[in-house]
Amino acid sequence: MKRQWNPYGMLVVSVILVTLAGCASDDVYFEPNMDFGSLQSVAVLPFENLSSQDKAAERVRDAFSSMLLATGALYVLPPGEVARGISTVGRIAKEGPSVEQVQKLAAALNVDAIITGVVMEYGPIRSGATSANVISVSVKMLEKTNGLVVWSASSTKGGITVWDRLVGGGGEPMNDVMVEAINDLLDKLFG
Amino acid sequence: MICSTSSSGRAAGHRALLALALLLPSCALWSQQAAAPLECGSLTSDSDGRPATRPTSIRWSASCSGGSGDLVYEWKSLGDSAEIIEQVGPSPTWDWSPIRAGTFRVMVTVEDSTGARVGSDWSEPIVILPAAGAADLIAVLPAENLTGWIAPVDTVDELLRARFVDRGFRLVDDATLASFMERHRIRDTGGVTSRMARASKDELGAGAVLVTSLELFRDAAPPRVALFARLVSSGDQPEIAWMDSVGMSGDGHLGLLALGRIGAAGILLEKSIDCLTASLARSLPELVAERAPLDPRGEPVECDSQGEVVALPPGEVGKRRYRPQTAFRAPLIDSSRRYSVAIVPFANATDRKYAGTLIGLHFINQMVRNEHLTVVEPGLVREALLENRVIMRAGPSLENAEALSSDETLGVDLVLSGTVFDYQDSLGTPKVEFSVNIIERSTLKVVWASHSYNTGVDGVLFFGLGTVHTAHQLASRMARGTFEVMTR
Repeated sequence: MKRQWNPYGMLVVSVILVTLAGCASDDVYFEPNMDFGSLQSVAVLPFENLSSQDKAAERVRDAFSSMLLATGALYVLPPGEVARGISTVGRIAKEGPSVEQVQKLAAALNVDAIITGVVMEYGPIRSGATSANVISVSVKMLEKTNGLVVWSASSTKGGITVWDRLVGGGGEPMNDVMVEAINDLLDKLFG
Repeated sequence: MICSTSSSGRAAGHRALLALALLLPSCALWSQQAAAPLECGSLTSDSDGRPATRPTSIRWSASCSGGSGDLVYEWKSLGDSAEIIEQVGPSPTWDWSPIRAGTFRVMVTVEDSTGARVGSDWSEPIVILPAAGAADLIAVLPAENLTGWIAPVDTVDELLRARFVDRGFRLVDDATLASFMERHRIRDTGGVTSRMARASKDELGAGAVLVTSLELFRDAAPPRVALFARLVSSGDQPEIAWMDSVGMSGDGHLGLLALGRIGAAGILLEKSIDCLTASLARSLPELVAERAPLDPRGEPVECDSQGEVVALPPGEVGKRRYRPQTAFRAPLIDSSRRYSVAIVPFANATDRKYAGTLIGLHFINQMVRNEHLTVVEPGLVREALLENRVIMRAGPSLENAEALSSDETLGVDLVLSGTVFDYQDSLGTPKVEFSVNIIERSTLKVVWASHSYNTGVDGVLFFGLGTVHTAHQLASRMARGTFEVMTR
């Protein structure tokens, strides 16, 4: 007896599969032709702050630089030296450095790559009577010779969980959430 | 014929080479047997064992003989708690400039080219007296106001002077000091410059200058007071002879039924100044009675709510919660070596005025107690920054670090700087967040990077037990935690 396929059932399954495929997202980009093993030193530029918290970008950039240096895989230039390099190439637009600026900056600072970042969320969010800390950061690595993006990743951590809604408590401390997000970014870089 | 001659000549050459090859190892064996064993006699110094007053230079000489090849001498000093490698090289003499007061012993270890090592015995103890002593005349500079608000600095000065006189210190009188400051156009009283140090020695006859910084004075409930004080020697080489700090809150030690509550900032200020003067008295060897039963060197101390200097409870040292959340230390740092460090004011990313200066002072206060470090007086760092026209927006660049550390300016091995992101000390729970960077002179590389964040209620679970009430106490513990990880 030949098995009959139900066209309606197939339609429903197809819709579900298409929907799930749309949900799948990959927030990491690696330039396939880039030899990441050749990178020895990087400069982390000041991050852009799109959050409502003053100094959020400075905080995240500083912790990111320290944690990247602590991996021992890359040498990260001190912030004062990066500031000196920026002063030599002129003002960098909020949207990030141009290709020429990346090349000039990398040459001035003698680094293999430049890292830029954007802090999109930083601080407490509220939903009803519940609040918790959240952070959302995206980071890009620009290569020195052609100024192109060779790695890009983003991470969002914290936020209101079911536990927070049921028990309260205000979520994790902001600093812990930030460290968690930076660890996630570093996992994406070295993973 | 020619061939046979050549062949026989080659054979003769081979025989000669073989004979030489057999002879050489035996020669080597003979030379090893012939070399006299490496040995060292007792050390001699030009101080003849007499106590010396800092700054001083003592020449030590080793009389070692024997061994083969060049000898390498490793000079070590043993202070109150730490054994430090002071000099390694071919020189059998060492010019020692002790960086702190105390009782020291010295030894040398010699190694020859074959790897044979022999060490001398430890020398007889030699006493090094501090650059500034209890008998010296002290110039008490007007307190620097780092509160960011109007504060009773005059009251601080009066109390300090009164307590110092009570404890038997000799002070430069007010009128003479005011005239001296006017003559030299001294406006910044937060540090001692080289010019000020020389002039205070030559013109005032002062052996030391006391620098006081008022960090916090809050009269509203709960009152809070925080102070730093340091004694800087005068003369050609100004250096920090003593430093301590106090941070007190009215609700710091409530006790049973909150009977220990202090309701006025004035009382806290008096207790703080009592505590600082007691701490200074304990640090001067001439006032031995004041020191008993605590040893001021090597043992961490702090002021309690009664205005007394006490040893830190063992549990307070090394609490993990005050260590940095992220830290990097390059292998370039050798924990057995001695380093000199210049602490540059931290970049201030907070709304709290002078937060960068305050965190810098906390680090000086921790580092000045370590035997492996020589911390440059902040007044000299400020002077070097001004003379080199160094303007730092985000900490020192490598160029700045090189300029500061060169022998023409400060001549230090390490330049410590950082950024303060939070220093909440006036209202509510104290919060402190900062990052630290250290650049090493020879490589111009970052050898330390860390990020620290804490609040006054970290780890507090029941009834507020373990709450830290002032940002001063919190920052002090965080600086200590960072420094502990740094030197571990």
